[in-house]
Amino acid sequence: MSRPSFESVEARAEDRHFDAVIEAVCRPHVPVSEILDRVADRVDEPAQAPSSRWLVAAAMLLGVGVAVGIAVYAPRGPDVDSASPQDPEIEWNTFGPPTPYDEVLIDEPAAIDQAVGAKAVRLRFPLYELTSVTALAQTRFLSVAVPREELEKCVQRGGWGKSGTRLQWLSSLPALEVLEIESMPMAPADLAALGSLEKLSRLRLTSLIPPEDPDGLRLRRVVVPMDAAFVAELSKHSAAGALELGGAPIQRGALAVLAASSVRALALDAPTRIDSDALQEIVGVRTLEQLRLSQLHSVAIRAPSIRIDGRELGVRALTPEFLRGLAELPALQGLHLEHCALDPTLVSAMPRQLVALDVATCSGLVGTGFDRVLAEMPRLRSLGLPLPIDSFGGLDANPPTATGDELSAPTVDEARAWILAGSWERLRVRGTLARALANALSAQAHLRELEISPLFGSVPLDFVEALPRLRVVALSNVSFEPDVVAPLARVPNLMEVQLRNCQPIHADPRDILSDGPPTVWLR
Amino acid sequence: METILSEDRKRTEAWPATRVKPAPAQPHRAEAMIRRHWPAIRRFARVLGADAATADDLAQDVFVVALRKGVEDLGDDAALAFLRTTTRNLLRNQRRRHRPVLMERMERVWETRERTADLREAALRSCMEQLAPRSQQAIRLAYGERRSRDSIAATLGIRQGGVKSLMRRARAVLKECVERSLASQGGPS
Repeated sequence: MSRPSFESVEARAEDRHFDAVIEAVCRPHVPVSEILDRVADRVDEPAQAPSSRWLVAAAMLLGVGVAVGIAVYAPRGPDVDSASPQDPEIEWNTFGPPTPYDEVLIDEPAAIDQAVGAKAVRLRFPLYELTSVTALAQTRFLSVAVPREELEKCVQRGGWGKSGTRLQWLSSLPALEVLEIESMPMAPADLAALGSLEKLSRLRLTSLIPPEDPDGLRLRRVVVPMDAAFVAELSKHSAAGALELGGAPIQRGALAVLAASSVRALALDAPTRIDSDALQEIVGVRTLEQLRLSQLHSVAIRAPSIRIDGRELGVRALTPEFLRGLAELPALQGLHLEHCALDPTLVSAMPRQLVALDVATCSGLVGTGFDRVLAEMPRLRSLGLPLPIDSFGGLDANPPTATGDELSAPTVDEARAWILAGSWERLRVRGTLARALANALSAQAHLRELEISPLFGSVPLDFVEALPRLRVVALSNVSFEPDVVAPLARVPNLMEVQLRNCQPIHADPRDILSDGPPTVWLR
Repeated sequence: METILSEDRKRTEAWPATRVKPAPAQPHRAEAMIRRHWPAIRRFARVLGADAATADDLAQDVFVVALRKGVEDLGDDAALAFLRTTTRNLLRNQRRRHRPVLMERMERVWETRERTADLREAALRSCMEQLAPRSQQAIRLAYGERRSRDSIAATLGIRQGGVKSLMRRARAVLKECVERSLASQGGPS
């Protein structure tokens, strides 16, 4: 949840260091003797003795009890005057955007020199084809994703690298913090090279290809299954606290291995097959703080199992038992369900200890009493919600709805009730922003980050002027007229506007917002 | 994967005890410690996310704990390590939750930047002089006097949005100037 949000921890830290230097230069000089006097005065004050600490602890417990009582019995809703939990360092989403750095895309080994000094590099060929990786010595983010045509060329060149050596170059990349590997030939023995990456915080492995199957390689039909042996090897060598696995069957026993690890954030992206037993093993990962389940087609299928030509394609993995099991995870704070079909039993089984919940792309929330469930989550501060889809004005190319009545988008009244079910610091909404919903958002006085997608057909963002604590606004996948975003320039404390995959109409948004927030990012 | 937890444990163990100790027996050493480490500890608190006012308070709290423990009698490196740990713990204690990995990453930034902190400060003083007078005034009002944007706008006779733009540009100019200055001295950027 994780800071952030949208900017890297390092970039923010560097900025704050620079600010501290400016403060030191601009502020009046305070003699050391004066500081010493102030400090020495307090040194003589009695520190809390152990017994008084118990008293303080008891008082705090009493206070917590009173606070919980108030939280339970008081009507919920935005309250500007009440103390809001503020933590500038909270990282709302560990998986977040890939990198804040300018990315350098390298298509062929011969062009690797273009990556010298780059902090974020994307390679479109297997890493082991490089003769030297010195160009990547300062790289913090590395993505290796091999396109199909490149795979075929690799086959023609006659090799996939030797098992155990395909990632050996990683030992020459000491600065690496994020590593993504997709569609690369890989054997479990290759994972040992991850052990050299001491700073690695996030690892993403998707659609890995078994090197012993050249035909499968060429056609990308076969992927390395995530079984217990693979995940065990991964846990043994990787120091990454955030792990993203996808594009492969996840077999029973694989996720159980993670119970012995200290992985804190786990994402399963588009596994080709997972069943409820395999998914249930996540409940044993006691260190887990964040969980993202994305595009689990089996999750969206409500039938017990689907078979075509006798081959099982998937079963319904997401069950109320699984969600209730998540409630037993002591550290779990964030749950992100992407493109999942929910129903009343699943919604009512949602873990209540969450700080962040994102169901913005899910369907099936209508008529589930989701607002009541939200009201039972006292710690919830970050929320992702679907909004109604205006089929006339909001032309979302990929709406969060699917066929069937139960998968329909919410009505304005329902979405409004969800927005008003609590006081949020971060909101991600996906759909058409009707006036009534904009009004509901304007009552969210503690809102610090707002992400809207899509905006086309939505009302102007003038409501944000009523949000005194708003610091980041992100707009995704939208086309907009200047007058829709112009109000952002008038938000008093807005620090950053992010425009991701946006198509401005008639004007450059940086011109529209030139007098507005200090940072406008176009991605 | 054990690293995160074991690091966290280490921090917990390093939490300073609340043993009361008389005022510094060696005031000159205490003064030397403050002179030497106060700016770095304040910057450390800022890098870890404290705002300017909190960093001031926190630095004071840290040195109170240090003097109670007699840290001024330790060697320079040991004193700095203690001050750093105490800052981290006090700051963590103020927060509802923390992320050790994030803190580690921020600390790495601090370690790197501190190597050239004095150079940066000197360069910044020179760069400030090169700023246009109005930009310089805006920076001094904001960072030196912690004046609000409204107040700065009123003082400079410009719109609030204008202050934001002015500050953004001035800060960018200063940053570039400092980095250029460091580079010309052969230091790391």
